[in-house]
Amino acid sequence: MSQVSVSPEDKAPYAGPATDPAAAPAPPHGLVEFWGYFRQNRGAVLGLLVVLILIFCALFADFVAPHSAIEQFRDSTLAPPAWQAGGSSKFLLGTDSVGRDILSRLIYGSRLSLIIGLVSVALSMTAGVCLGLVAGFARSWNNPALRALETVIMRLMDILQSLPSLLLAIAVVAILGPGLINAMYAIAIVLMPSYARLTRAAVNGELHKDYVNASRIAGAGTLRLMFNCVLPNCTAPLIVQATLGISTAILDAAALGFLGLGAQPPTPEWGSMLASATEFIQSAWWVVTFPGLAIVVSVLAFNLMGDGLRDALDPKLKR
Amino acid sequence: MSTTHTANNALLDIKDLRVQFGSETSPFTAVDGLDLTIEQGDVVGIVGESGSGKSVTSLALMGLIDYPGRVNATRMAFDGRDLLKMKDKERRSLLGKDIAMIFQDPMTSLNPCYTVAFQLMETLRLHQGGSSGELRAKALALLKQVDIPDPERRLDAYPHQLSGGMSQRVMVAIAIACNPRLLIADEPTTALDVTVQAQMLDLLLQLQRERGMALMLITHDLSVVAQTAQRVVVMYAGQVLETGLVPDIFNAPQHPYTQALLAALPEHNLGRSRLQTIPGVVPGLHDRPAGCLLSPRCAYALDKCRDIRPDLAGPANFQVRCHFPLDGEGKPGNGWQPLTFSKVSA
Repeated sequence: MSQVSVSPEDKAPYAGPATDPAAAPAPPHGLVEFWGYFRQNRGAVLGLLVVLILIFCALFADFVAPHSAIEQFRDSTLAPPAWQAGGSSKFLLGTDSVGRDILSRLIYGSRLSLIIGLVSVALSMTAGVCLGLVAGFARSWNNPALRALETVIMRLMDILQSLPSLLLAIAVVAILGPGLINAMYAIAIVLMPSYARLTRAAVNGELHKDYVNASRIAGAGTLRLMFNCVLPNCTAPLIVQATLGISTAILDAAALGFLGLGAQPPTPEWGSMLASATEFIQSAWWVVTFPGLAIVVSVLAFNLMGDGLRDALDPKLKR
Repeated sequence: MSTTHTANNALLDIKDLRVQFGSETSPFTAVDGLDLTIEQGDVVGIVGESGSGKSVTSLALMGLIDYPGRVNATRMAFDGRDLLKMKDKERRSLLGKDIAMIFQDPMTSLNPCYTVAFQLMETLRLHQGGSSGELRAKALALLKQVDIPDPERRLDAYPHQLSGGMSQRVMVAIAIACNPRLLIADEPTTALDVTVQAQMLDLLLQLQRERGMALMLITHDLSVVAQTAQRVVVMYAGQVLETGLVPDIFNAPQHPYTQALLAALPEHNLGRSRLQTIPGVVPGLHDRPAGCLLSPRCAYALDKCRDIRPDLAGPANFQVRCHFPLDGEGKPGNGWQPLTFSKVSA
């Protein structure tokens, strides 16, 4: 057959896609799509699991922990873990030099670590994001004095970042005085520059887009542009930085606790537990090992989770 | 344009607008002494190639030129009120309500974080107010006006779920939400495919007629201007080269540049294997000629063109910036003599 005949039905005008728009499957909800990407990263899921366990321990420490965190069992000081010779099932991970149950102290300590992580990250993120927004917007302001704000803020952040973070935290605690609350302030100040820089960079990228202009010509003022228009579009890198920041905060708090500048005894903070156990490194390994492990595992979990979040939230890394 | 045209009833009256970027000592002048008047209900087309200052003019008008850009004008009045002398807050209340704008790229002009309904209602709430129920009803009515299919469902869609044409329609809906008296459309069809372009222009013109608003249509598509506008302004390197009524200019352009632009249209090149072009590019910061800005690219340029920069001259409704404006037959007039061969080789 050399010629193809065209039937009248074939000539019917194209009437758009055959599928009914109402019947088309709805695009997956944002969270569903996010979970799909997040799930592909095994380490991230593992990290999330550990973080969830930590949160559970922190919330229900009173029910999970076998003993009080500060009760001293004078008849069994430095008892080894349950599986070692001389250990008892009463103290699963052993006791410290004054007879406090290490497992219970670790469980109560997770509460402190999480609080330190969340509070200092929240503090530093709030301050850093505000500074970063101002710095990002200031570049295009007409008033030269206000425009100088960008330089002032960013050079201040550079100075903060050029100091060793622990040294800076120690300096801040030395000024404010030792204690858990002051340690959180110190950590917040140390973490702040990265949020400010991240926000400013993201703002600079977004400010050139037309939707910002569209908001401006719809009559939006500077504050509205900052917080309602631009900031929501910069959140993905900030969320990632925040999860990674929690681990840094936990680590810094432990370091400050170890130096005796953070939580004060008898608070069951992981870093100060390590500090009070240094003299028993040779004789009772469990007193130092378990708090150390707790720090390592929780920091690792937050880092893995942060990596997974970055993979899932950054559109450039999507496969 | 001229003094007779600047009656107080002009909706938009710009005199000697100058927009500069870069350092104070050696600035780059993006818009150079632009005069523009738009009457109520006018459709004015602004054409020119890329870099001729079309978009910068509209951005300056909307107050969107930020540091390091500088905007100066003898007068930039909307409805008799000078925009440059206004306080920021006053100007903001005017923007979006009386003057609205549509951008070139529909995919980036909606905020990716919010739904269509939110963005429409945000503008409505700011300028008109009302309960969320009322605002939502208004938003739905607007989407219907711009012919979005299935508007109820689109209200709760995010921008990434819309096509380019649909995003542009949403932008138009936001722009006309508060019944503006002047709508600036900055290349509204550039990023759309051809069939959607025609629909979009039809929509803009229909809305313009229904609401009696003035439309400032920025484009580099001359056929779009021919179809839609009453008046046209031809810009080149920040200056107005020629302005007048559309039929006059399209039938008998007086400026060599307009002539060359028209000659480059595909419709005028039927039967040729290649389109006619204008050699060269718009002068940048460091190669602005001393004389007429077009002189390096103009087919008729003489020594006078290279040395002396011409002024905009002519009657109010047909002005041209050329030493030797073209006559009715498309040949340069005003005593223009072709260069002899000996002069060229010398």
